[in-house]
Amino acid sequence: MLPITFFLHLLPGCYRSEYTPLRDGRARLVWRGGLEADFSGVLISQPCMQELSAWSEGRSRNSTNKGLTPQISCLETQCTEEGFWSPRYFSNFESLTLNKMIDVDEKNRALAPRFSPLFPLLSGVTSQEEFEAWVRKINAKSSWDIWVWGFNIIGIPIGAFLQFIYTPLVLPAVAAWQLSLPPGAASPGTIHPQVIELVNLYNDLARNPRSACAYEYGGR
Amino acid sequence: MRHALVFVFTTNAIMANGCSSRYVPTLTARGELTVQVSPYRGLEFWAGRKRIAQTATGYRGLSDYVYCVPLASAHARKAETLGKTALAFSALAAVSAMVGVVHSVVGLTSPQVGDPQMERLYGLYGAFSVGLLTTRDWVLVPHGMGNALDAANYYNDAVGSFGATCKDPSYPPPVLVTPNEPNEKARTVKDEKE
Repeated sequence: MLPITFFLHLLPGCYRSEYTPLRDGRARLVWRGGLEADFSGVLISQPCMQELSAWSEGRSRNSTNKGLTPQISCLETQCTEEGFWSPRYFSNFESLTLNKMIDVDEKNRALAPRFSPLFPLLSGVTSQEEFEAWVRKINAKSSWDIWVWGFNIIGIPIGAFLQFIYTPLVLPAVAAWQLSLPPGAASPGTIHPQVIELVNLYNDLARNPRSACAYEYGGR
Repeated sequence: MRHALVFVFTTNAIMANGCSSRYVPTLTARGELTVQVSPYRGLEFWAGRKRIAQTATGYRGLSDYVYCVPLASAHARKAETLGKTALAFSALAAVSAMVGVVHSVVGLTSPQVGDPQMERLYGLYGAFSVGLLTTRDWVLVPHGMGNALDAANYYNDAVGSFGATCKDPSYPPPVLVTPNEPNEKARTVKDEKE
């Protein structure tokens, strides 16, 4: 039997992550009331944005296209023998050291890299706002800000709230509301693959020296 | 109200229709967790060519994979609990719906057809199932996905994107890179040595 406190922390609202992305040049997926692509640690150049836009537009023109994989392959200089990408470290980027959260057995622990991999923070990027607006547009398709689960339950005994209000009144009301929705209406758990593909694609492009999004270009 | 069950099944079938991710990341560090969409509308977490966890199994295995990063581990455990609860809600809703269907079929052959009391009972089965599925879809699933993504992000920030894993926390030798102009080939420490 799950403790009641388990359900209580679910009540105040739809999940909003408290995770703060590092500024290391990687795009991430974060849940903030819905699935979002987070590019806050990324500096995007104009050519890179054009590359991403071209992909995005190509995808929307042909929704049945299954050949989305761009010309990215594991290059000899950047991959390990097992075919994994080798993290890059930038000597001018000492401020971000390895997160000190690892709790591994000291004797088995290798020397952790001193520098954060990936991305040098450089100035002179002009298209950041434009890019962020573009990402917001894609994220908007997968956001459900209209849904607010929160109740103001301050001052109401939580047991009584669950016993007399939530279970007999709120649950059936929500059930009735869901029944009234048109078929296929999105619930917060619905995933939009385009957001995930955008993050995966950008991270691949950023690691490909042939791309305009490559880390080596530092967002220029 | 008897239509409610049919409606629930139809709605969920439509909502669960195929929306799988088609772009598969190719340049990933050893141990790095990437996210893909499963054909059944959930998330899948991959490391290399191995699927580590997915929504469909209640994120089983995620906390074992990220155990060396305490914050990631805490979020992964929460995701697993939520995932398991969501699966239990699904099972309970299915059982309730099936009992409702059987009851209504049996009711059709009984002399009590049209009895308002019985109609209300069928409605209760439907409402219970819908309540469970609604709670699952609007509360448990989003919280589970959110926690699972947080687990992956915290893990990648500390271990995964550096090319290590919790089981083998050895980091690949660093490749130092000097940022370059776009049309120049990147100079690496390796190149400079050569």
